[in-house]
Amino acid sequence: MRHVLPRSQVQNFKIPKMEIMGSGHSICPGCGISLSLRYALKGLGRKTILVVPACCCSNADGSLLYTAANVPVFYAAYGTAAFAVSGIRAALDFQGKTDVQVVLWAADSNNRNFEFWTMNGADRREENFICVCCDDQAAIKARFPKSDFRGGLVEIMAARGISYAATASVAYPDDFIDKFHKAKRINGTRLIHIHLPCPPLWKISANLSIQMARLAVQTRLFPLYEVENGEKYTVNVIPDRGFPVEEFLRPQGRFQHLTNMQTEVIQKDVERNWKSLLNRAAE
Amino acid sequence: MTQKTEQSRSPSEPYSSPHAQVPERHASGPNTPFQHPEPYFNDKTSPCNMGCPAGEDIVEAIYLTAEGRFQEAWELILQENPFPGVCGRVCPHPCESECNRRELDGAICIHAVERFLADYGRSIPRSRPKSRPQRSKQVAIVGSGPAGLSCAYHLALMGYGATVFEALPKAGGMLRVGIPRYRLPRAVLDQEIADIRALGVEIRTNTLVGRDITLDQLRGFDALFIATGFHRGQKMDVPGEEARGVFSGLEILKRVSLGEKIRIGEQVAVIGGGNTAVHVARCLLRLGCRPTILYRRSRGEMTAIDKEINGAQEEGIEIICLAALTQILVRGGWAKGVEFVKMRLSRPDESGRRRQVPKKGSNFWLKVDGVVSAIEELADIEFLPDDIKSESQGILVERGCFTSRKGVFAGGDVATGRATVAHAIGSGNKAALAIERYLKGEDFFSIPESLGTDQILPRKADSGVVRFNDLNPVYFKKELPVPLRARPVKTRVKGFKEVYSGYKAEEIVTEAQRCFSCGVCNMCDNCLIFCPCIAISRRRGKFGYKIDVTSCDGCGICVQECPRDALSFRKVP
Repeated sequence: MRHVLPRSQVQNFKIPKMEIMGSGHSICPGCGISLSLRYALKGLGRKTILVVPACCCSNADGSLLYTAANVPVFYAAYGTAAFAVSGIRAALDFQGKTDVQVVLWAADSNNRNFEFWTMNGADRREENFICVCCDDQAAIKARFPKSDFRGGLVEIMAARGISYAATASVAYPDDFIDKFHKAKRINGTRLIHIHLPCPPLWKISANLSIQMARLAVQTRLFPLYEVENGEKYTVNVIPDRGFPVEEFLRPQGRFQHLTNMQTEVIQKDVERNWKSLLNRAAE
Repeated sequence: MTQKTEQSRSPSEPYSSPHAQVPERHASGPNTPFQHPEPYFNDKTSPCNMGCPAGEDIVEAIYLTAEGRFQEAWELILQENPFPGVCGRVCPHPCESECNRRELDGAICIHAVERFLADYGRSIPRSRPKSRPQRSKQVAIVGSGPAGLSCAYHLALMGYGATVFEALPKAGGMLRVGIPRYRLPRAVLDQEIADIRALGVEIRTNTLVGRDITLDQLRGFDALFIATGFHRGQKMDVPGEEARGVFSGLEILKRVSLGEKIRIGEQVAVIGGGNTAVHVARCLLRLGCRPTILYRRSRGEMTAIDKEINGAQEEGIEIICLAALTQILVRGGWAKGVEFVKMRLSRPDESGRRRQVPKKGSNFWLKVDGVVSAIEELADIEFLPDDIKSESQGILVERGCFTSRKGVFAGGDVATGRATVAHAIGSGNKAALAIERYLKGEDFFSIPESLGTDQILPRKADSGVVRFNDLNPVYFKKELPVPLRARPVKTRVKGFKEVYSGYKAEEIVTEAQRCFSCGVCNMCDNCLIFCPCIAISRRRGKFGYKIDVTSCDGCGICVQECPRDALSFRKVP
């Protein structure tokens, strides 16, 4: 009986049907990089140039002469991506192609440390580009990750007063795409901090990666929010009920050693962060 | 490039890669020579479909209703069940007790959807189901209840001639004389029986097999189906039972249904805890009597449908539980009072059930003008010859419907024991399948045991039943079911108008959209949205998705994130 297309789709997410990214990349099963690149391109459109430093993302758009991203990709060396972005932006502006977005696409949090200062410099120069940091939490100290769960990157850049800074998660594709869509329409340096599930690093099975990314938001470890001009805070997803952080930490092999006391400390830290975030959003 | 990868997966020509020695855990991406389990769309059986004794394809009908395709949904139900209007009203809906949504916020009101679809179907110009070309074989059916008529319906659709013999002046069996009009308006029943007649089924009323016609006279037919039901009231075995003013529950219901007069006093004691007892009490209330239901066991053990018991209590009918009848007081040939003894529950016996033990000295009297015995009914099978084996409970059958005489089948309550209208319809369906096989000359043992399923049409679905744990509950939010709307007590006890009112189309569409669609894809796009390999795409202009297995890296996110468990993994050979 189900031979004709449904008239009213019972969809959980309203996202654009346009598919820019194709299949054929070479990332690990269950990784969030290709999903985030796919959602980002849905939000940004075809007029986009990606600048990718040496990181996991270098695999995300395929190998050799083929690209799965279906938009121009520029591979930059370690720690030079922001300079490359500045150059490409300047060339485009010179040609009058102001509608083309240049995106610095950096994955894994080691890269976050390397690219951070160059990105700061670009911000000082008031460059017009989108900086994406796919954070797989690789730099989290496995022994006791309390401090590392604080969403540092967005806060630092918001304190510098950049035009748009936001967090996004692959488990919430509609919110993800909305943020890229919004970032596209703003001028200046924009930062999007993506929480990226990494099954080999987190020691989870590949099929659970979306579920874990969702739990990170539901436990409020990684709140989804945005900051405009360093002032206007908006919390985009408020979980119906806060799950205990335990639900996010326990299934992961990398946190098996945590004692109950340590998870309690993390829980308190998360609650404090969440409260202060809500306060800032209410201001 | 795609071609190359396809070659690499072909089993006949193994792809030799320089990286063939890489351990399997590093394998990923389309270029890998390693094989991983691959996802595929695999519709499974939803619990409601499994729970329906009549074999309806409920999940599909609800999907069509949610889409607003009411006529298709109605026709889909008619493929298995000729009585959607009846079942939407009187079936105790075992489908709803199986519904997975119960675990979240309450089952889908499947009966409301069915009732709406039947009402909708009555309101549109009907397109009759297409029957297959006529065949010469003729089948006789004894009893025009739900089992007999659904068997006749399916045989007629298959092209066989069916003749139904009914002892009462009107067809419908228990639906007509056992279920009062306030629950099942006669217009609904008449319409659905007329639809069966329109297929060419002949119904001979006022023909009691055994009196007006003997079973041997039916030998001219190629097959015989017996579905006479339970129409004989049981004796209560108490002194004073023979007095005037003592009725059997079925007799009261029959007279009320057929519009005959009953002479019964004002204060009436109704003995029993089944549907008959509740029906009798509510009918008598509508006739101006003051009935009291007295039941031997506890309230929880009453076999009547909960909704009906609650309805009776709303209407002010007193139910006294744990009271056993000991004798009927007779004055001048008339029943004038009843004596009861209070019962108490003893410790559970080996079977785990608590037995009732009479409390000594707890006897009490009720002054009554009439007594109705509505305890269990029995099968009336005295007309059967000896070679059709039977016992006091009914006819003995093998594989659901085969009796001990060749060519004679039995179904409905008389063969399956006391059950509901849906069970009777399912039994009729099953018998129709068996009779068709028999008439085609197939051997008894060629008939598969899987004939135990009640459905007439085969379905493309895995037989595994999807339970709540198999679903991904993250994607379902709480939404309350459509409320049941009863007419106010004051007006409804004044006549036999239907107690529960119908539903609006918008309500039913909203209700149908609550359905989880357990195990059956409804194109919610989740797998497509979350596929990291972009291996899943919509089929152009058709329902469903296709999976490009050469791009798939076997991560399993689609299987995990499917809200309704419509995807499965399989090992690549």
